[in-house]
Amino acid sequence: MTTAALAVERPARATRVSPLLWALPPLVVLAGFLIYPLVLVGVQSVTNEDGVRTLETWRSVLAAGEFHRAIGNTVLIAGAATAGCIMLGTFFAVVLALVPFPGSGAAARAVDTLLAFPSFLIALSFTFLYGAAGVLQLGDFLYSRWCVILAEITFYTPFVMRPALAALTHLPAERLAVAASLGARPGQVLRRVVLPEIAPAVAAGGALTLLLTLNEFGIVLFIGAKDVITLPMLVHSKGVVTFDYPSACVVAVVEVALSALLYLLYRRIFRRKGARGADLVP
Amino acid sequence: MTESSAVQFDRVSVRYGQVTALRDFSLDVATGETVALLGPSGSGKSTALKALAGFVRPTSGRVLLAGQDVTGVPPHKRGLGVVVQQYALFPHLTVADNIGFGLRARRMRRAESARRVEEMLELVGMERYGRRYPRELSGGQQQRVAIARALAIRPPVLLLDEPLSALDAQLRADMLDELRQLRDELPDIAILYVTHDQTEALTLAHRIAVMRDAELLDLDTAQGLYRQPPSEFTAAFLGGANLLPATVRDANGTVDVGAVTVNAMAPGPLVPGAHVRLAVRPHTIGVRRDGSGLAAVLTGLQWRGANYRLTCLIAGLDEPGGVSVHADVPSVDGLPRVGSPVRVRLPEHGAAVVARAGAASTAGDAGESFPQNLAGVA
Amino acid sequence: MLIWSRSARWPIWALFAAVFLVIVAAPLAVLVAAALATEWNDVLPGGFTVAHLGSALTGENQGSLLVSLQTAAVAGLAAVAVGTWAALALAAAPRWLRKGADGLLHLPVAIPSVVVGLGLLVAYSRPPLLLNGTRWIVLIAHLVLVLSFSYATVSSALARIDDSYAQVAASLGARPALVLWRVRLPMLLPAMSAAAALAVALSMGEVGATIMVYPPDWRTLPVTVFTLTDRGRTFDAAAATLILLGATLVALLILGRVSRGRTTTGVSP
Repeated sequence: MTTAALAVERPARATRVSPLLWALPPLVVLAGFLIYPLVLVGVQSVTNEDGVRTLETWRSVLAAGEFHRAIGNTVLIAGAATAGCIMLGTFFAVVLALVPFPGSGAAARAVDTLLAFPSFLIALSFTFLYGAAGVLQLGDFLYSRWCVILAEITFYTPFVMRPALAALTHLPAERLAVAASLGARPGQVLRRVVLPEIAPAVAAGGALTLLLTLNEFGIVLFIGAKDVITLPMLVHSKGVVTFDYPSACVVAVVEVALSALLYLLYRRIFRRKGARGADLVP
Repeated sequence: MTESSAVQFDRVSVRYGQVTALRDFSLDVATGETVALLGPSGSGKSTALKALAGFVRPTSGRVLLAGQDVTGVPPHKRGLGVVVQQYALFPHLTVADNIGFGLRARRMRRAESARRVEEMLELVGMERYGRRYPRELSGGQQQRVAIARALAIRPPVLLLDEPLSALDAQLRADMLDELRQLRDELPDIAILYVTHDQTEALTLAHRIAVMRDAELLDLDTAQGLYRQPPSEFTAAFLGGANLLPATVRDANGTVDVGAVTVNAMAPGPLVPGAHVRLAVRPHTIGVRRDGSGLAAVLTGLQWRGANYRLTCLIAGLDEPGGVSVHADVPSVDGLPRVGSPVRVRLPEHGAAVVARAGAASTAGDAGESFPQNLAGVA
Repeated sequence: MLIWSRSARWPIWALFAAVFLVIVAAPLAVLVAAALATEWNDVLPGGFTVAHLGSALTGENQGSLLVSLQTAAVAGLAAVAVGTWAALALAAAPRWLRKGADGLLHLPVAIPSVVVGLGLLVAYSRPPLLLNGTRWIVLIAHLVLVLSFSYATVSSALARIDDSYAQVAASLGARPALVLWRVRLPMLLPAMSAAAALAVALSMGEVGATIMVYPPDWRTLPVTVFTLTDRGRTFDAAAATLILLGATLVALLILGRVSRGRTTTGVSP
């Protein structure tokens, strides 16, 4: 009885403690390389160059016109690009899944391939397409917000198209046939059967796109428009161009707060619904 | 039932938070015996198996293997053979490596383990498939491999969790035959077989444990449970018996159903005048246009190939709205039309008095006629 | 399926083709053309040359390519290892820890890469650990950024693998370590190689964090491409980008080959 009792107790206690220990190493990596740096960014933002605690940097950064313009640009570009991606991604998905043509599979894969590319590639090719000396000779279009928005739409459309396509493959063809047999015209079927079905997936993809476009850096950097400064660009120029760490940290804190808010919202909404179509894995 | 028990559940309960998956479950399985845990989904039968295998830990109670308390022993030290519903064959290993998995875990020498694998492949008739991968096999073949893998470690106890549920109807019947043969070839193994299918339980099991709502409801030999169901639930679940209200006439089992008197089998002496339920199998009921029997109206008629299933509504019998019974009759000409009056004839022998009501329904004072749980009566 | 008459499909296809050409095909085609162009002052390039590609494969640019490949290999490997470890450990962890850690592990997706870079710069330019100016800070930045993706890939694959595999393995007498080594890891291998591919692709193209932290002797190819554009050498930049894409593709193919060689079974849970 005594040996049996020992055999009973030991594994029970072991299974209660060891999962925590096993989870520790990856969490230490994360804490050291992500959490600790982020905390220091926060601390740095309220510390001036002489190591004194002050809110002076916050005051001067938040008062500056370039900061206001950067926030405006960031939100406008992200919002417009996300709207564009939602429209284009839904259109692509609906055509590819419901009005297929020979080669539509290859087209879908081509759009998918964009996901594996760095975003600055799009910006680079835009300098040839839309640059003053390029194919379309559009003058200053390259250096406008609209060009940045167009580039981001190009790059981020797959993030909406993929979940939408995945949702459409779960939509049984019979349902469309039944809707049509009941007398619904294609427009009505699209509006009343197809779009409601894929709406959650599109919304999830759109939310992720909004998050990523808010943080987009490569495209804006490579297009290099002097007037189109976004928050990440501001962090970059304050941080490594003028080496003003405290100011860069203030902008970074604002940026992280904005993203974290959106991210929490995103997880709240889509985790609960279990919409795996909006997985962070592209 | 104590010394020779290969498996013993001793008042085992399993709770997940607020949900009780298994309540106060006790059961002995002897070496060489096959016991089926039969019940609808959510009845706790799979939980009982998992508690035995060590996949879930009982909240209270003990699990014993060959008299040893193994309640807190991890699964890899229990040495049981387990076959799960979807087989869980390791997709990255060949059939031979799957079967040899347990042997390798036990560090058996290669030559010996290869011999054992061959032996097992032969046992399940899969000699030529050793080098295949699971995905290259049919459902029935996968099932055989899963059984061979479980048996390769020569376990004293084999646990089968709905092993046929992933197969289609024809294949299931064939595999049932094979399982029955296999059972007879393994006289030294205790088998616990979890299923929701009464045919599987009746075909394979020496004894059947009927589970319901996380509890063991009835336990008896397959024949005993079928002939003399101890509860209304078992009567209906095992063989789909009709349950008719009856009044006891004498202690030997003569009961009145309305105006008809029947000699029924009784689990023990009956109390005259008590209200009980009579379990009558559909194939023993006769339906005539006229003559003797209970007056009824034919309300449904279904052709089932070999026979017809008739549904008749018997008026009266102290039930508001009457009592509906099913009868299976051979396909003959001259069946009455739906809606016409008929006579329902109960069998003179073969009907059984059900002692206990199911927990959900009431049968007057029938329960008091037999205060004991009759599960032990064989 | 949606449009039943063939004639009505044509306008839709035409619209699709037009949008697809402008949005997807044109940028890629233009980039390839630019990488091969001698000059481009008109609608079409003036002439073609492989000189830019040649310069992208020599000297400084070649060095950057090697730096990028090494960074991607090290960061990708580390990310898959840490991500797999995290996925396995958290699957067995209590609910509160799993939820919290899951949120943290996904965090790098949500915050801008520039901020990750800035954070490392601020944190590791001071004691106790001085990493600023070394290549380690670049590797760490890449690890942090791709970790989310490799963790997400492996943990979602893990969630799809039924518990019964590990349970049956245990019932056959395998200790937890053996179950991990012989059952769980082999079954996760396809997801791990997918995670590695994703990590390599992302790391090869990473620019935001790298540009914040890179030391002169560890400049990745995307940063080099940026300096080329900045100096107005756009054709060389296009050529270097093309090389970058090519190298990424080759790396992914090798990775795919390796994982397929190891898992001839095409593990599908």
